Amino acid sequence: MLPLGLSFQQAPPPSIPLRFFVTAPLFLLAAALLLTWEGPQALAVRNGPVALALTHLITLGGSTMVMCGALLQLMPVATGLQWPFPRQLATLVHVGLTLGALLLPLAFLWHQRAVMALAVLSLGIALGTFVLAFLARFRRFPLPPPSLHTQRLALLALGVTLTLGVTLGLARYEPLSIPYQHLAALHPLWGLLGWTGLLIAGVAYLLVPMFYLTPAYPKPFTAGFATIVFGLLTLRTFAADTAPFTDSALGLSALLFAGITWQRLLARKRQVADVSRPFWHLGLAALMVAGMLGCLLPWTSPATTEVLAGMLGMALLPGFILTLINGMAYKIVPFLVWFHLQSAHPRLGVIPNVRQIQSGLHGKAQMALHGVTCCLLLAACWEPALMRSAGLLWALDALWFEVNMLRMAGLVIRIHRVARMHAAV
Amino acid sequence: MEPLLLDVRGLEPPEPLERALEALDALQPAQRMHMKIHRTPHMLYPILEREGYAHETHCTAQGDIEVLIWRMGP
Repeated sequence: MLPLGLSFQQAPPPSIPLRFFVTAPLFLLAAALLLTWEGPQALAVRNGPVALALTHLITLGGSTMVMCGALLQLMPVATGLQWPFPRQLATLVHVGLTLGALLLPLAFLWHQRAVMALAVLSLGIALGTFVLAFLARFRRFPLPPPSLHTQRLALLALGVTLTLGVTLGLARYEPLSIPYQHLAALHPLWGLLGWTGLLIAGVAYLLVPMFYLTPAYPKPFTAGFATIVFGLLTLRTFAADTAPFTDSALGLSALLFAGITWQRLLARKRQVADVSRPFWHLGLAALMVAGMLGCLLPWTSPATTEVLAGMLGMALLPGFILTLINGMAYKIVPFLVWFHLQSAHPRLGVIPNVRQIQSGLHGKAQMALHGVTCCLLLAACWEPALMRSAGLLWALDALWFEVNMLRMAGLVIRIHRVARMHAAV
Repeated sequence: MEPLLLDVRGLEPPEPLERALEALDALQPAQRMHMKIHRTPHMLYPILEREGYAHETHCTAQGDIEVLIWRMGP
């Protein structure tokens, strides 16, 4: 077994995660503009073309994009293991995911068989390679600690999500004899709770105590949580009639994770203002709303199910997942940029410190805008007339996020240029 | 020469690393730096080695980490 600990000599160049972080807000902007364009009708049909296009712009172009970039950065640092060709792997995943996340929504909106085939091919190659590359690395850890065990199950869940997604994509145009409705219900569960939820949990076990000086997560929780969630998803897959119970249990699991993480943040040793922590509070509050809706949804009447399902989607996607991703980007990316520049040019003297980089992002103001956007998106599920205003605010929010990511990429380029000029003098 | 004391216990990352790098700039050639921190500063070690500093790390009975840093050779 290999020793575990943070090994920063193994850190890949910042261009690897940054390309993912710079691309993701553009997909969120596209989702917001599509929502604005479609207005009150956008989510009128839960599995209609617009709703599916919107969902995949957020999940593939937004959250999966950031999570792949973050894992490519974090994994060599957390495990000390490096891939033989990190740049080539990052390029393959980034290009394939970008292409697939662009083509898949277009395939839904245009009903084009060829576009769907290309989207499925791009995503299959990019995410399939990503999952296999990571799982191959994880084989070096027969008894991984809870954080890595949780991340490994998240990657397995991504593999299941991808397989279901490719099957469903092909089934739209090919006569496949599959239980389409059952698989269509499983696909978002594996994607949102398995892949995204478990990855966020696995990373939180590692980063929340480290970044915010909180007590560690309780050991029985970290040891069992991922296995229970994965087990519930497996039960839901092979025993469809257990759906009301498994769905409620998954909602309870989300509530438990939110509650324990909230309690960690309250118990932190030093109460210092930090740009990313309010994003955690907002994201966890949204997860609590999503968890409660998830518990209730299987037991509500069909008349209210559609509205509540829309609210659950909004609470989970923009509310929980995008909020945490945004907040963690403001914590991690300035640090990566500073550390890379400091290591590359230790005597340059013009490199701003992390707080200076963070203060230039105006993260608190963007966080306020993001919070209002999430509330409006949630309200728009009750009152669809609000959908266009919510979409416009969201577009502004995503644009702000993008400008901040570009600002940090620009800082890296600018400092390297200054260093070259110093070296030439 | 008195060692330069640096207590960064309880600071959120990456402030301990930032403060350590600032303190290194102020360190006199024959002076040692005595750093107290709440967790092992993994990120600092490669920088110290690259910049020609030696270091020794001890864990105290209270669970804190103490790192002694000094410049190597002439």
